[in-house]
Amino acid sequence: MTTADDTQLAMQGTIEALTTGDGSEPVVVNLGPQHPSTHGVFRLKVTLDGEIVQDAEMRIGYLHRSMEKLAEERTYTQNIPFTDRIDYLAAMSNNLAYCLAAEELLGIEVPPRAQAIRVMFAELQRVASHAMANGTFINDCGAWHTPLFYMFRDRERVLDMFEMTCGARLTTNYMRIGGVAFDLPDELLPTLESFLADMPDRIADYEALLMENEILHARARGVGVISPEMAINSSLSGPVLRATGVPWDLRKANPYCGYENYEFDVPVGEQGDCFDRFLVRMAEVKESLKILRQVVDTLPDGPWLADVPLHARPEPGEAYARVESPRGELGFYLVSDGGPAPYRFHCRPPSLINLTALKEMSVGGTLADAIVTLGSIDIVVGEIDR
Amino acid sequence: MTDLAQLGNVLGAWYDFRDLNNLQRLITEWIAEWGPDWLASIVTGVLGALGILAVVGPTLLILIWVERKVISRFQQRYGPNRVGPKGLLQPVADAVKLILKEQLAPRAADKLIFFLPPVLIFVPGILIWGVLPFGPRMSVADLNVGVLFLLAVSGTAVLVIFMAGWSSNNKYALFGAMRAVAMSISYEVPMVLALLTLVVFSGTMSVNGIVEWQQQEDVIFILLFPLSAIAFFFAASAELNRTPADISEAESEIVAGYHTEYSGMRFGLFYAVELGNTLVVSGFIATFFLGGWWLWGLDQWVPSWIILLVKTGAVYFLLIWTRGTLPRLRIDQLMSFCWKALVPATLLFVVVAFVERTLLISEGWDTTVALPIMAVFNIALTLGAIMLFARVARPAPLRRPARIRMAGSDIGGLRAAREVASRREEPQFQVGGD
Amino acid sequence: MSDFGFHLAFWSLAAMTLGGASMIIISRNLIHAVIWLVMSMLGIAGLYLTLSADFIAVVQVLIYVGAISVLMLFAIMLTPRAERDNSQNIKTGGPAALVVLLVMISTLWVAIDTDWGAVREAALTDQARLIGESLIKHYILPFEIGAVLLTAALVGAIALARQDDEDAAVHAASLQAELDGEGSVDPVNVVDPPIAAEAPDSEAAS
Repeated sequence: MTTADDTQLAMQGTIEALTTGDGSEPVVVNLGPQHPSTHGVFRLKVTLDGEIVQDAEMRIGYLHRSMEKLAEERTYTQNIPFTDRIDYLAAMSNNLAYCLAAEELLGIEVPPRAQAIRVMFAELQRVASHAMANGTFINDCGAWHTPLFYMFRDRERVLDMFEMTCGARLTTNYMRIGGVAFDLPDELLPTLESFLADMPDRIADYEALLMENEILHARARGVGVISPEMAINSSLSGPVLRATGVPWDLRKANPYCGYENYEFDVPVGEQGDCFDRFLVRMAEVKESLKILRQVVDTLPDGPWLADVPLHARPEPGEAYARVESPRGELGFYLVSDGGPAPYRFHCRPPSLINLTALKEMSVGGTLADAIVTLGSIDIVVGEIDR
Repeated sequence: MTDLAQLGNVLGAWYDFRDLNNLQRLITEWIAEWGPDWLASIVTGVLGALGILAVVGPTLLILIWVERKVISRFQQRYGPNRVGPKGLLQPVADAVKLILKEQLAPRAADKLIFFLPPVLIFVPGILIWGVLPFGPRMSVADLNVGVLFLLAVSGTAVLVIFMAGWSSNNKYALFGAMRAVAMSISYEVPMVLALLTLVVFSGTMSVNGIVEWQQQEDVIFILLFPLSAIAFFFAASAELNRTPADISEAESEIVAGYHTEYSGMRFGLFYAVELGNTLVVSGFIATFFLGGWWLWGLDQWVPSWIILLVKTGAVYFLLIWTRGTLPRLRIDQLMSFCWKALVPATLLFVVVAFVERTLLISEGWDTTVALPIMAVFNIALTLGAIMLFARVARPAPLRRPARIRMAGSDIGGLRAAREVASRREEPQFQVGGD
Repeated sequence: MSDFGFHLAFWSLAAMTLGGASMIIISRNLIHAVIWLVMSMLGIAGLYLTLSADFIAVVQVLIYVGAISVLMLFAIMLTPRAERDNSQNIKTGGPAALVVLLVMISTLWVAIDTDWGAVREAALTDQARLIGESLIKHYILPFEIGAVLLTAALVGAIALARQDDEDAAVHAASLQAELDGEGSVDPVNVVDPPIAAEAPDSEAAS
C-alpha cells in the first residue's frame, strides 16, 4: 500500500470494507496516530470482524527524528542529550547504556562512587517508569485515571529527586562518559530515605486496590498471551519476556555497574498474559527498592567522574553495551573511525522489538483486548521511532 | 406522637415550601375561575416543565463541578479551583468555551441526522423527570403506568445514540453506537425485571404508588429485594455508560464512542444530558429502593424534596465512587454478565416477589411479622446467589491463580524457565484463583 | 379533556403521524425512512394518549420506538447496501402495493364499522389491570398462541445464529490450516498474505 493511500486512510473516517468471500465484511479501523491509547503517535491498523481482531498491522515512524544519523555529526559527549529523548520515560537508563558503550570504546574505568550513583538513578528510573507503565496499563483497562494518578505520586517524587540532582526531571542528561555530571546534593539522601520508607506502604495500597480486582482480572488474565518460545524467538526482553516465565535479566545475566554486588531477585510470571506483565512490574518495583536500600547503605566516597577529555577520540573500533532498561534490553552500538564523533550510532530499542509481537498477542482477541495488550507491552514511541 | 404528626402536617398554603404543589394548585384554581380549563392544564404543564428545567439546568452546572471535584479527590488532586470561588464557575467557563467553538461536521456525515441527535437526546433526558415524585403530590405527571413510562422513555435514547453514531460516518462512532445499542437492549431486560419485582410486590405501576407502599409498610425496598437493587444499579450504570460499563464511549478503545465527531456545544449537550441522566437515575434508584421522599416520618418535618435530593446525592456519590475506582469490563463480559447472571437472578426474584405477595394477600399473612422474615430470607438468597455466581460463572483463566516466582540463581533462556517453573516451593506471591 | 386542547392535540398528532408515514415512502435512504417511521410511531402513541389509553401509548413507545425501530436499524446496518437508496426495490412494488391496499381496505372497513362513540364514554383509568385480565381470562388462547409463536421464533433465531457460529469455526480452522501449512514462521518477519482488497469477486459478493 502506498503512502498516499495511507494518508487517505488515516484522514478519512469512511468505512473500508474488505470482502472475505463469506459475505461478511471486516472493518479496518485505524487506532492512531491520534488516539487516546497509542501512548504517542503510533498507528495500529486493525482488521476487525465485529469486535474480533483478525489482523493487526503496526505503522510506525510518526515520531522519527533521525537520531542515529544526527548522532554521527556530534561528539560522544554531545550525543548524551539525544539518548534522553530516545526513551523519554527512562532517560537515565538510556544515558547509562550510551555511556557504557562509549566507555567501552574509550576504555575508561568508572570510579566506584559513580557506579553506585548510576545504579541508584537507574533503579529510581525503573520505579518511575514502572509506575507510569502500570498506571497507563490500568487506564487502558478502563479505570478512570485513579490508579494512574496514585502511581504518578511516586513518579513525581522520583522526578523531584532527579530535579534535585541534575536540574531536569524528564530529559536528565545526567550520566557522563566516565561517571555522572554532578555529585549527589546534600538533600538527596534524606529524600531518598523517606521515599524508601514510604514506598512499601504505597505498594501495599496498590496491591489492595488492584491485585484482587475482579474486573482487572477479567480484563487482563488470559489476554495477550505469548508463549516463552515465541517470546524468545521474537527476541522480546524485559517484563514482557519475564512474564512468560523466562528468567532473563541483564542485571543478573551480564552485570554492569556493579549490579553483581547487590542482593536482588528476578521475578518471573507464568502465563505470559497481560496480568502477569503487570504483576512482574509490581514485583520489580519492590526489587528495585531493595537495590536502592543497599546502594544507600554502601555508597562509597570518592570522585564521581573520571577524567575524560570532552573531545575524546577513541581508537577505531566498535563497542556494544546493553542495560536492563525498564522496558527490556536497551543496547547501544557505537563504531569509531578515530574521529571525535561516532562513525555509526545504533540503538537497540526494547519497545520496538517488544512491539513486534503485538500482532501475535492480539489476533483472535477483541479490540478491547488489543488495547489492553498494547498497554501492557509498555511502549514509548520516542524509542520506537528514534 | 399524633400531636407532633399533626403539627408537622402540610399546611396546604402556598408559602409552605415543604410541598411546592400547593402553589401550583392555587394557580390552577385561580385560572379555572376565569379561564377555560384547557388553559389551566396547559399552564400547569408549562409550569411543571419550567420547574423541572429550572431544577435540571443549574443542577447540571453544579453537578459537573461536583463530579470533577469528587473524582479529583479520589485521585489525590485538587480538581478545578481557578475560575470563581473554589472553581465553582469552571462549568460556566467550559460552557462558554464550548459555545464559542466551531461546530464541525464530517464531510461524509449524513447532515440532517447528524445535527438532530444533540437536540433530540434532551427529550428523553427531560421527559424522564416527569414521573419522578419529589413529594406526595409533587410530580409533574403521576402516571399510573409511571414505571413503564420510565422504561419507554429511557429506551428511546438508544435510537438517538444510534443516529448520532451512524450519521457521523466514523468507525469509532459506529462502534460506539453499536455497542450502546447492544448494551442498552440487553440491560433493559434486568432493569425491567428488577422493577417488575417491585411492581409485583407493591401491586402498582405508579412511581409514587411504590413510594407510598414503602411508606405504608415502613420498609424500604432495598431491604426486601437487595438483589434487584444491585441489578438495577448495575444495569443503570450500564445504560448510563459509566464505568465499569462505559464501553460505548470507552476512551481507551474507541475515543469517545458515538459522539466522537461532535464538537463544541454539540458535544457539550451530550455531556450535559449524560450527567442529567445520571442524576435522574440516581433519583429513581433512591425512589424505588430507598423510599424516595419518605424517611420514617422525617418527611413530615423536612421538605420531602430535600429528602429525595439527599438520597439522590448519596446514590450519585456511589456512582462517582464506582467510576473512580473500577476498570472497565469488555463488551462480551458485560453481555454474558447481563444474560447469564443478572437476568436469571432478577427473574428469580420476580418469582420470589410473586410468591411472597401471594402469601401476604391471599394467605393474609400479617405484614409486620412477615415482612422482616421475608427481608431476611431475601437477603440470604441474595448473598447465596452472588456467591453461587462467583463460584460457577468465573471464566476459566480466572480460576487459576496468577503466580509470580523469583528466579533466584536460575538465569537464562527456556531451560532456566522450566527450572523455575518446576520448583516445588510456594511462589513469591499468588493472586486470584478460586 | 376540553374540546380545544383535544382538537389541537389530535390534529397536530395526526399531522405528525401522517407526515412521518408519507416521508417513509418519499425518503430514499432506508435509515431516514426508519427515523420517519419512528416519528410516525410517536404520533400514534400520542393519539393513544388523547384517547386516554396511557398504557397502550407507553407500550407503543417502549416496543415500537425503543425496540422495533432499533431492530430495524440493526437489520439495515447488517445488510450490505445499508444506506443506499431503496428505489431499485420498485420491481416488487406491484405485489407490495396490493398487500398494502388489502390492509388499508380491511382497516378502513373496521374503522367505519366500529361504533366510535363508545370510546368517549368510558374514560379508562386502570388499564393495565383490565388488559391483563382480559388477556388472561377472555383471550387466553390467542395470548398463548402468541407466546408459543414468539418462543418458536426465539429458538429459531438462536438456531440460525448458532449455524453461523459453526461456519465461523470452519472458516477459522481453514485459516489456521493455511497458516500452519507454511511451516515454522519467523515471528519477527511474518509477512502477511495480502488481504484481498481488490479481489475479483468483491463486486459479486457485496
